[in-house]
Amino acid sequence: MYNKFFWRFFRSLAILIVIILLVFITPIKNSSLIVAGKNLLIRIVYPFQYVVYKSLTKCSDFAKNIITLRNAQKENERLRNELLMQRAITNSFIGLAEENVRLKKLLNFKNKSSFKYNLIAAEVIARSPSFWFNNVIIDKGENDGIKKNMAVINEDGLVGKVTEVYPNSSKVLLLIAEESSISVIISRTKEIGVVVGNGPNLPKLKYIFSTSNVVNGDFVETSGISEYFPKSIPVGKIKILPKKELELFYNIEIIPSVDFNSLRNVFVIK
Amino acid sequence: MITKQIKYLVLFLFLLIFQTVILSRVIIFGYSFELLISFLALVTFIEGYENSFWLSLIIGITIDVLTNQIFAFTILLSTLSIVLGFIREKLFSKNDIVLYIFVFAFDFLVYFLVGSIFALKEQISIFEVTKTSFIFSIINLAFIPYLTTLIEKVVKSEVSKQLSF
Repeated sequence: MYNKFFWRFFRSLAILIVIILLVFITPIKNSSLIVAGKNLLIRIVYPFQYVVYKSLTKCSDFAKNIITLRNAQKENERLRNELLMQRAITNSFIGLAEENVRLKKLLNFKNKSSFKYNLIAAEVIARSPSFWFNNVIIDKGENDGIKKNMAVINEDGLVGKVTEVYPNSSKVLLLIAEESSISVIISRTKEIGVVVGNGPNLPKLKYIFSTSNVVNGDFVETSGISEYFPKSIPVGKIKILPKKELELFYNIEIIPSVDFNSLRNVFVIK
Repeated sequence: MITKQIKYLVLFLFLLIFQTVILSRVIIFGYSFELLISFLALVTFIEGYENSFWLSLIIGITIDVLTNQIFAFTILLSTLSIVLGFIREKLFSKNDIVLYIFVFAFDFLVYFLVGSIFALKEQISIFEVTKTSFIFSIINLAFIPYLTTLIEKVVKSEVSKQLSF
């Protein structure tokens, strides 16, 4: 009986070892088979997620329609989406306006800024099944003009970046994800740093020297250095933590301007 | 046996949709519920490590695809499924207390091991990783009665089918 038991145990272990060896020895990660497998899995799972999400939102919208007039509800939704889009565009101008005033004062320089966003509206359908990896699925994909590495924002600021694109959906890596790393600038002092995600904890702002005069509450926005994120998109506010005496850099957390717990409507910058 | 596997697959798909679409929006002090790991732990506990091994591969591959990590969760979940399932079968009996401790330990190890990799990369403190893993594992225990009920329905339906034959 014990022989049979240990035989079953070592058989399972052997299968596992083969898988581990396949992963580390062969260049399997980016093979076309794996990519095809991923696409197939997403194509299987996404329709169910879409149906459940739309059913839930339809049910909640139906309850609202009972109380309010049907036409008023539609008009309200249309105006709300338009307003959210305009707020997203307007927020980006705040940083530019400050820079414009500063340059005019110092150099009597005319700022020619052709700042245009072409936005694609999308809804967040589902989130990652593991909290250590903060990404979401949106309901727009390749067929809607979405491409990899496009920036994603909402009316409050930067949400993240498109990392994978499928025909009718896309995966967005959130700002708060552990793998996320974004070049930013402090609006007041113009110092450049990098915001890295920190999972359930607040994102961290790195590489701000301890000799800097940054204070709590300073606004942080995208620097425009990265090819993926346009300039002056709000990222968040600074929260300085106590640091050790001889540390070179401040220990700073960022309070994101976006509420990642209630993401629903986002815009992809084309 | 095959129909039971299909039922577990259907249950897994239901839990995946439920978690990613609905439960992910329920955030309590920055923490959300995660059913898939607890589901795998329960199946390993009830069915044994050998019968849950294939499910651990499927759940691992699915999480890897949805989080863009190839084979990380597949290897981790299948290894833990074998090791913890083996330890449970050899050392402990099946009762409610052992069930809760087993699921807690399974969840904690998964979160802690994954979190430790990030702790090394991003210089996050191990204390934060331990605290986060502990809280997540405690929160997920709330769903054990419901998940256990669902799994036992699958087990009982197979048993009654076999008896009717």
